[in-house]
Formats: sequence, C-alpha cells, structure tokens
Amino acid sequence: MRAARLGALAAAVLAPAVVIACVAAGVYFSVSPADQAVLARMLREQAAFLAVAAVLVTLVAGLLLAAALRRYVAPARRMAADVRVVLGANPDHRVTPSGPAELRQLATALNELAERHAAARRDVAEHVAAAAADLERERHRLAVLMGVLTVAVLVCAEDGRILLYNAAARDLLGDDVGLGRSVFGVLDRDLVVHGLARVDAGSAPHEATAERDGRPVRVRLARVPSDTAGFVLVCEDATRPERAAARHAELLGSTADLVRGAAGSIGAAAGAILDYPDVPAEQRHRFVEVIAEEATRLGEAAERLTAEPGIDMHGWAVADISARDLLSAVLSAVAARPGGPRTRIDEAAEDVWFTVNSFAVADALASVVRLLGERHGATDVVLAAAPGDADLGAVDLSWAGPPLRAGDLERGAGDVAGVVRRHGGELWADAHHPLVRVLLPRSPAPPRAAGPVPAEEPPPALYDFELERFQPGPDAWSEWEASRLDRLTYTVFDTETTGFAPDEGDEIVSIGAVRIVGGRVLRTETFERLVDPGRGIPPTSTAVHGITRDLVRGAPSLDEVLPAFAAFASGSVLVGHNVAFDMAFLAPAQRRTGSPLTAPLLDTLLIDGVVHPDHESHTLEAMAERLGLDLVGRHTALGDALLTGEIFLRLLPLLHARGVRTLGELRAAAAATAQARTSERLYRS
Amino acid sequence: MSRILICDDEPNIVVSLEFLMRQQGHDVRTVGDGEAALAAVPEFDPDLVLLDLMLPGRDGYEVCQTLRADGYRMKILMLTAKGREAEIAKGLAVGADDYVTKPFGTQDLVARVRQLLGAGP
Repeated sequence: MRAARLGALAAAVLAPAVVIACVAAGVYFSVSPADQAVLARMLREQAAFLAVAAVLVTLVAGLLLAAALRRYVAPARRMAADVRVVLGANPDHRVTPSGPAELRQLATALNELAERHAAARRDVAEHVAAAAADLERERHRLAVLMGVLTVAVLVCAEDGRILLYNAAARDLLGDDVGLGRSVFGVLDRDLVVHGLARVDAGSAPHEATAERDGRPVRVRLARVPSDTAGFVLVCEDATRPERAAARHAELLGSTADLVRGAAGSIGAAAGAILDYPDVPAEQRHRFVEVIAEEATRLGEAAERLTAEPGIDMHGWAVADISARDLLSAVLSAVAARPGGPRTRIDEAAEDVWFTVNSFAVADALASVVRLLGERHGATDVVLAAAPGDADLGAVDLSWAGPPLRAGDLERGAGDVAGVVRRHGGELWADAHHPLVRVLLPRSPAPPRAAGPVPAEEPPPALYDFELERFQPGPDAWSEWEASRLDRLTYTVFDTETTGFAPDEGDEIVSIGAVRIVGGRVLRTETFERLVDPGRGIPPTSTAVHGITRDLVRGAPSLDEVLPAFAAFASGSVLVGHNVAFDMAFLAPAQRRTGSPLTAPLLDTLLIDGVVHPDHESHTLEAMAERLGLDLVGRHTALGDALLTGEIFLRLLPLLHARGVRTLGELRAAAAATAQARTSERLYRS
Repeated sequence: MSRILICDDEPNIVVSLEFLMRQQGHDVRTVGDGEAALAAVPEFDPDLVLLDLMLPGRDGYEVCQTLRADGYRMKILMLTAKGREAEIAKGLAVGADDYVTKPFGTQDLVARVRQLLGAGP
C-alpha cells in the first residue's frame, strides 16, 4: 500500500516535468537554426536559474496534483470497503460520506441502495420464517393426527421405503418399521405388488390379508396421487373384531346346543309319561323331576346369554354425549315426523353426560314423546336431565295432564324398553304424576370443560417426505461407490466387549446402533442388545461399560443377535468409530452364521484423518470436542453409537468442502490416510 | 331281546332313554363318557349303541371311529344336539348307522331302534 502511494506521488510529480520538457522541446525545434543558436546560448547563460525554476514549477504542480488526487482516491477506497461490509458481513452497515461533494452524493446513493438491499433481505427473511412456521404447524398437526389414529398408517415411496408411519404401525407390525426402511421387511412384497396392480387396474383401494407373527393383519392399499408415485397402507389387527365375533358365535352356538339337549330331555321324559300311562309312580316321579330340572337349566342359559358383556351391545357404538345434545337429538327426531306434540327442553335443568348409543336412545325417547301425543293427548312435553346416582343419570319427560296408566309405556312406545335395558338402564311411568323417567348410564368421568389445551411434547414426527429425494440402498457395488454421501442412509453402531483381544477369546457383550436417514440421527430408531459372551467379563472391562456377567447371563448369543442387527442395518452404509476393532469381533460370528454385513463400512476415525490430517488425536472425545458436541451417555454401545452418528453428520460438510462427495471418493481418501495404514496393521484378520 | 349300550353324559336324558329301551324289552347298560363306552363294549358286546356326540374327553365321533377301526359291527345310533348338515355327514362318515337330533320324539326314537335292530345281521 505504501509503495503504491509513493508510486502515485512520483507519477504526480513527474507528470508536470514531462509536460514542461515537451513544450520546451517543441519551441526549440520550431524556430530557425539562427534562433536556435541564440536560444542555446541563452539557455547556457541562464542554466542555473532555469533549472531551479523548472524544479520548483514541477514540484509545486506535482504536489497540487497529488493533493487533488488524494482527496478523491482515499474516500473512494473507504466507500468501496464499506460497500463490501454491507454486502458481506452486516447489511445494516452504511457508507460514511466523505471527500468532495461528488463522492458525498455517491455515498448517499450507495446508502439508499444499501437501505433497499436490507429491506429486501428482511422481507425475504420474514417470508421464509412465516413459511417455516406454517410448515412446522402442519408437521405438528400431522404428527398429532397420526398419533391419535388407532389404525396403523404407512406411506411408502414407490420402491417401498417408508416415508411415514405412526405409533400404531410400530405396535402392529413391530420394530422393523422405520423411516427410510423397506416396508417389505414387514409385509410380503408379493402382497403389496399384487394389491397395487389391482389398484392400478381399477381405482378403489384394495384390501388384502397379510400375516404378521401368526396374526392376520387386514391391509388396505391406495395410491398417492402425485408426480412421484407412492402408496399408502392402512393396516388393522384382524384378530380383535374377529375374536369378539367368535366369542359371540361360540356363546350362541353352545346355548343352542344346551337348549336342544334340555328340550331333548324334557321331550323324552314327557313322551315316556304320555306313551306309557301305567308307569310306576316312582318312575313317573323321576320323569317329572327331569322336566323340572331341565326347565331350570333353560332359564339359567337364558340368564347367561343376557349377562354376557358385549352381547347386548354387540354392534352398538356407545360414546359420551351431553344431555343437551341428546335431548336436542330427541327434538329433531320428534320433528322429523309431523303431528308430534309441542316439545321443548327444560333449559334450567342440569347438564349431565351419558355414555349411550345416541341414535338409538334419541329415537326411543322420540317414540315415547309421540306416544304421549298420539295416545295420551299431551300437548306440551318437557324434556330434562338429572344427575341421578353415580352410575345412572335420568332423562325425565313430563307433560300437563293425567299420568300414564300401567302398561301404556311398554305397549305403546315400540322397543323403547329394550333399548334402555340393553344400555343397562331402566324406565318407568310415574303412577301419580305425569312423568316418565328413563335411567341411562352416565359418562364415568365427565369430560373437562373446554379450555386451553396444555402444551405438551408433540408426538415424535415419524415421517419425512423429503426421503423420496434420497436414493435407496443400491444393489450393485458400483452404485454404492457412485452414491452421494448426503443422499445415503447410514447405520452407526458400536460394541462393548470383554476386552481388547479378539484373538485371545475376548467377545462382544453388547451392540448398539442408530440409523441416520435424510441427514438426521433418528433417535426413535435404535438397536440395543445385550449379548451373552459365553465367558467371564474382567472387572477392568466392567469398570468401563458397567456390564456384568449376571447382566448378560441368559441374553442371546452373538450368533443370535447378528442376524437381527444385519436386518436392522439392511440397505444402509455401516459407520463406526475405529470400526476395524468391532469387525474383528464380528467377523467370526459372520462366518459361523452365514449372515454377513454386506453393506459398505465407514470409519469415523479415518474420516477424521481425511478432514483433519494434521491433528494428532482422532479419539471420539477429541473429535466431539473439536466439533462442539457434548459427551453424554458415553460407554454404552448405544450412547457411543449416537455420539458417533452426530460426529459423522458434522464431518459430512467438511468432507464436501474438501471435494469428497461420493462414497467411493470417501473410501479412497480414507484408505490413503496414515491412520488407515496403522489400523490395518493392527486389526488385519 | 338285544343288548343296548347308552352313552350320554346328561343323566336327565339317560333316565328316559334307559326307561324307553327297557320298555322294549332290551338289556340296557349306561355309561357317561367315551372312555367308559370303549371299555364297556368288549365286555357287554352290545347290538346297538345309543351314542351322544358331545361327551367329555373323547367325543362321540372318536368313539364311533375307534369302534369301527377295532372291527365292531354293531349298530350305532348317534344322538346329537347339533343339527347341522356337516355334523350329520361327519357322524355318518365315521361309521354311524343313523342319527337322531335332540329334541326328538320318543316314538320316533323307539321306531328307529327297532328298525336298526331288525335290519341287522
């Protein structure tokens, strides 16, 4: 900078000298040779004076020019720097006006531009924030909606990867349900393909029955209409309603058998008495006893049939309803047919909640109202509700006029008595007052008054439609190699062992793993198993991971756990820290069970060697500290897997910055690190 | 006079069946379950078994099938509280000669027994 300034100064000083020299030369060569001789003599005589004058003129002119330049150049430079701050670091920074009027005007214009730039940025930021908030609300709503559904819902991409599932799906179909995992891990591929073909041929959702853990599961398939095809599965446990139906059928069938048997005994005894009139008295008495006993049995069978819970209400949906809504429904039912009496609800009466089949009850009460009008001549019927006792609340129908006579209610109002009794209620007409009282089951816990819903943790968002953009686990090795790192699914795992020497009989005591899908560590999708190592655990190892021999005794062996782990990891890249160590323990079990982990392997230790080649330490602790992560839950297999997963995610952008984009590039870079050569030497198997 | 084995776990029907068969002049023995029926057959050597289908333990079908498998050729009349076609078909398939569904008329039962015994070898 200083050199540049000196250069500018020198140029400013030299410029007038050059101009003067040029003018002098022009004058000298434009005159006659005689005059040139005169001029030359004059110059020689006045050389000293002329030289001083030339230097002085040059200096003064140069300094004046330099000063003028400095007035413009320096403020222009400052303004340029200010503009860069506005553009880069701080949009609220402004250009400081300085220098001559022209530059001040320029500064004002630049500040106007900066003002508009900032306003536009604020505008965009506001829009982005509003859109993000909308999206978050929608996510929340969808999560809640999925959470309250009792049927299992799965939304899948065309290739079968799960983009959404709810808690019911996990309950019904098991732990193999997870984001980004294939639905064909839980449902037969042929069933889905067959169903989709049926749906594509017609348009209605297709129903099929699948089998899961020996239970029938009813599956409805539908297409997602969008440019990227996919499908929705709604699944229900088919055993539950069937079990209820089967119990009812069984009860009815056994009752029918019992009735036939009893009728057989009665018929045979009665037949004997009729056919053989001269039967001895003692024998005749036995027949009569049989008839009496069997009559009792028939009565008891009828009792059992009605006492069986659910039989009466089978097919009746009961739900909570307030008395006000129930009585309004009665008014509507009365008004639906012309000619009914004037009917109103007693607004002063207390509000009670019932648990009833509101349609059946409203219809039955309406038929009582009509009976009062048509047969009894009542003109004004008042409906009211009363709390009654703990179990039963009352609906009262009253009118002006004489009370009902015994039997009027039972004979005149259709099946009202049956409807009420099926609810476990009772009804009667008061003998002395114009009143019909209907007792119905009260709602066990009255619903809370409407108010602000307490802020609760939203249910875990078990969906990610973005996953559709991510590629599935490829089949061919070459496709794995070309896969972009930010588009892959990963299973990050860790093991705890009895010691450090697999060659000398040390074994795995636990495996923990978590899946990374769509650039997020899915804490809802984890794998954690204790493994019985079939040998003792040295106290020095227990001190590290806290797993004792007693804790793992009876746990499955590694040969049993490995296939489950392989299933959990299927379709994803395996990631571990110092993974060669874990693989040295897993390799023998893989050979024994024939259940190899075929997916590519990545080692965060080597990746750190790629990203931070100059750092000495590549331990989990050192990496976590460098990347600003907390060391929580360390030294359990799952805890370490979760930490390794977070570290891995933070390493991805650093790899990207170094030009490592694909899995193949990363594997090549990792293999070339100094750490790779060391670990290969240590754990070659 | 024939020997008739009545196999039913309901004492109230046995009272009448036993009386009706005795009135016809038969030699009658009664048992209350399938196991007892199989034990009684070799010793009593009945000409006809009145066999209830619903028995505790080994049911009437099994008793009938076992008797036929063991080579017994006596008449077997099934008594059933189940009246469905499939159950009757099954009863005849495992070797019963005839069936009577409960409830039944006493005279009809007596006539069937007489017919079966008369048509026997």
